[in-house]
Amino acid sequence: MVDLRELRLPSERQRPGDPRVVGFQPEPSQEHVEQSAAAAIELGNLVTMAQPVSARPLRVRFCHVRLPPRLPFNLYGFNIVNISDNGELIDSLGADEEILYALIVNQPVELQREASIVFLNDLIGRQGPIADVVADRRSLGDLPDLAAAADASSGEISMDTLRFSLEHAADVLKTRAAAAGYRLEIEYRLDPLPRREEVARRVSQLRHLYKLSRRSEGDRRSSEEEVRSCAVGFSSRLRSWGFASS
Amino acid sequence: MGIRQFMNQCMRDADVCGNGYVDFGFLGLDPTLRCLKPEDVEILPGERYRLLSEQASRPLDRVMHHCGLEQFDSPYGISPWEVLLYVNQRQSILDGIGKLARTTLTRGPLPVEQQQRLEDVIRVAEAIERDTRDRLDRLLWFPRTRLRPVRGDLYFAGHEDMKT
Repeated sequence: MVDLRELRLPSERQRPGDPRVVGFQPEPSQEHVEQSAAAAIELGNLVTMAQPVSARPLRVRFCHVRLPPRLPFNLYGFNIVNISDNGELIDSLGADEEILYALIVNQPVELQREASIVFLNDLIGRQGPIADVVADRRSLGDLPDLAAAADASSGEISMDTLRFSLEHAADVLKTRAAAAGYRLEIEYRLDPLPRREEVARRVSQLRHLYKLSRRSEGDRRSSEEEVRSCAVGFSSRLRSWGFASS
Repeated sequence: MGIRQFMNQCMRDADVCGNGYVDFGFLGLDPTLRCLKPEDVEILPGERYRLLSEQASRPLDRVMHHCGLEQFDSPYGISPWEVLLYVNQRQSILDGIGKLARTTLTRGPLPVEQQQRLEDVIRVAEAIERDTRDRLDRLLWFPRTRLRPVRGDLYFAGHEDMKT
């Protein structure tokens, strides 16, 4: 009898000393790109839900990008933040906008499927705590702990169900979505931002991020460290305004 | 400005904005170089370019285009910084919380219930901050820890003054 816990998922298949998973493509071929696109479309068909009609649609569009330079081999995908026509950030969930998620095409196709399921499970899992807080069933202060517990649970569900089969993982994902009051609508397009307008409207935010990274410029600090220091320097500011951390 | 400055600007635009352009034009017989604002450039078929801020102008055909991250079918590149753009989103949430905190502080002592609510908001801000730090640590560990030291024989002897 096969012990499912012994089965290694694509993200767990690595050779000793090599940070890349087995099957990583440094230069993805056209054939690999086409296989990746076909797999994403197939997965979309598998998890898209026709029912319940009354449920709130949760629209996700997958797309593909090459691994950006300087980023680690264990980056499997990332959310491409929505930006409005006038260059402002949009909260996709709150605005019922489509969520754009870029899969890294260099990864093996099986790993891209795994990453898609993990992302969707995380997304669904996070909706419960948020809904509880919005409906005043839980206090806002509970949100960090609730979100952490939901993330842990979602991760476990993804791993356990994927070890069994992709179809089983998709079924469980759809059941969770329906229970949370959502209906998944998954679409796909190869390029994340194919049109000029889509690229152009992001420029001001990207420049802002670049400037943020340069704000506290030090001679020997890398831009990554600068982004980090800007993003995480908030507590000290709050404290300087008279708020002690509880 | 030297050509190096134009090229540097183009590369930085490509890295930050996703696309960098240098137009190698002519004013009479004099060559003129200029960088084009990435958000103003439309790519036309046949590797020609149009500057949207100059509607009446002819398409430009001596433009060097450099992409940050190439897409597959689209001629436009995207920024490698897209991965980090969520930091802006989180920063705007934190800024909103900060504004709320400052406004509330100026009103003097708060009723217990409001004080509790404000503390909740601050807990959330701290959790966002922690999560951002963790995600950045996971995302950016590679460049700092995985690069091997430069090999001693990578550069040729006398490379400092380009003699050999």
